[in-house]
Amino acid sequence: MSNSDSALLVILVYSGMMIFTALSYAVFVTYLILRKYSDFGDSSCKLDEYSQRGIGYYRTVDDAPAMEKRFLFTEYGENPYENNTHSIPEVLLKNSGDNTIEEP
Amino acid sequence: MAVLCKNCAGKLIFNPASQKLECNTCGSSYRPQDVEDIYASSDTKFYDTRVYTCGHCGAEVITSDTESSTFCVYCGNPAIVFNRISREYRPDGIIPFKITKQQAIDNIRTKFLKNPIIPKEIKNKLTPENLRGIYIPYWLINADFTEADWIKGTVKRGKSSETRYYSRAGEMTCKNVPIDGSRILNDDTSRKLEPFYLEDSTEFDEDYLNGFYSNISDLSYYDLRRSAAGRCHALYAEDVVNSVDRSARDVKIVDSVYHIDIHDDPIYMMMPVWFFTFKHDGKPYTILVNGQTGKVVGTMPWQNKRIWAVAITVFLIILAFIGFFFGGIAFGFRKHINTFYMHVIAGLLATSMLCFTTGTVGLKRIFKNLRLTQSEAIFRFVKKRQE
Repeated sequence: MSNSDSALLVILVYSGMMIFTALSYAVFVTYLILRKYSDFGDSSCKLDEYSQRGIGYYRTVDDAPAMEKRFLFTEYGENPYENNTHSIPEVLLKNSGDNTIEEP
Repeated sequence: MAVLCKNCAGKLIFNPASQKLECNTCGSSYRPQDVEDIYASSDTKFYDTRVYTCGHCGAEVITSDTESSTFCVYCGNPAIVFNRISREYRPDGIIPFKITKQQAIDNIRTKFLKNPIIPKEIKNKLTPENLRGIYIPYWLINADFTEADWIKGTVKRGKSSETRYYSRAGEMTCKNVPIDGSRILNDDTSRKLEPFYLEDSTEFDEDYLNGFYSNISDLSYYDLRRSAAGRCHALYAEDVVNSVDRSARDVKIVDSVYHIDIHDDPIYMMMPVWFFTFKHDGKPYTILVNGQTGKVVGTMPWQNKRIWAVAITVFLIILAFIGFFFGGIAFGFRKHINTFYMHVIAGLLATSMLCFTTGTVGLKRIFKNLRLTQSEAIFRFVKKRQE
């Protein structure tokens, strides 16, 4: 590679870095401005607002081997509430058109 | 249907400021629970409503007898016609409007209209005529919820990184989780309106509807379960990700299975929301205000010229700043570049990737919110629910 080729390569690399950095900051500042002046109402409701006890864990495995995934979903894949029955408000039954309740 | 003033037979309107029904003709005021509606159905399971239908988006708008509908609260189209008088299931409870129309206007003005990037013509459209109060149906559910998750994360080991997997399974019991009961309102939007505080709730009385619009729940039990499961999953997932080793980065759930059991008799509630509907560049927009807390939800369109001007200015300044540095190296006047300047440049280069990622992800979210604010997206009939 000749000296002029290496100089050209250096200029290209520097130019690319300059343009990318300038572009990144332009995008970031634009985002900050739109977030401040145009976009409102993002919410972040936490679990503790709706559940006093939080999550009770049955199983916590860190650095799990690949086989663990199959065991996990075999053990917890079935609906434990399948046979539970409940009284349902009439308005919900009316909207379903019939009284059959499908599994989501 | 409307109740009339005992003194002059004028129509009574609910005033959020006084929390009383007021007669615009003679100025009398009454507490809603003290007013007896002579037209009320003797069957307390139902109440009567007037239903208007929008010829443009197809939405059904329900009003009391005191509010005649002149345009659709959802898409802003004036092609709205009286359809029928309908008997609807009476909700269990209601949170009456606490924020007045003027307060809602002030909140929107404070949030959006006192800044330089919002088009001027939108500022002129924020008038009382373009604001409508509407009661949105919600279901409050109590539920048991179980979930199993397969989680992936990256852990640093020396100079290299290693992918690790984590398994979690657990259960929780949720109380009073609000689920939007209308297919017409998008879940993402209704979720942003929260929180609603139940301390202000009271037994449903149609007198609170006087002067406002309302909607009815059109969900089936299947819809409710699907929405509730999605909502509980979102709450659960945030917590479960935080349960993973803190040294792990890029932690995300790659696979999960969950089940919900909604307890008996979910509560059917009406929640108050102000709708500011307007058109800009031919597109309809709706900004919402929580009628209890005054929280403003939505994304205003902006002046593209000004945003482009800011972006190009920042681009050129940073380019010139770094260009001088690289030019100094290339053309040998490095002695003019001091150490502080070099550190600033190094910092800019090093953080550029972070800025690019944060900026593009953030802009993507803002554009998504803007699409939701455009009424056709918010109020589409087949509501996209979180799976």
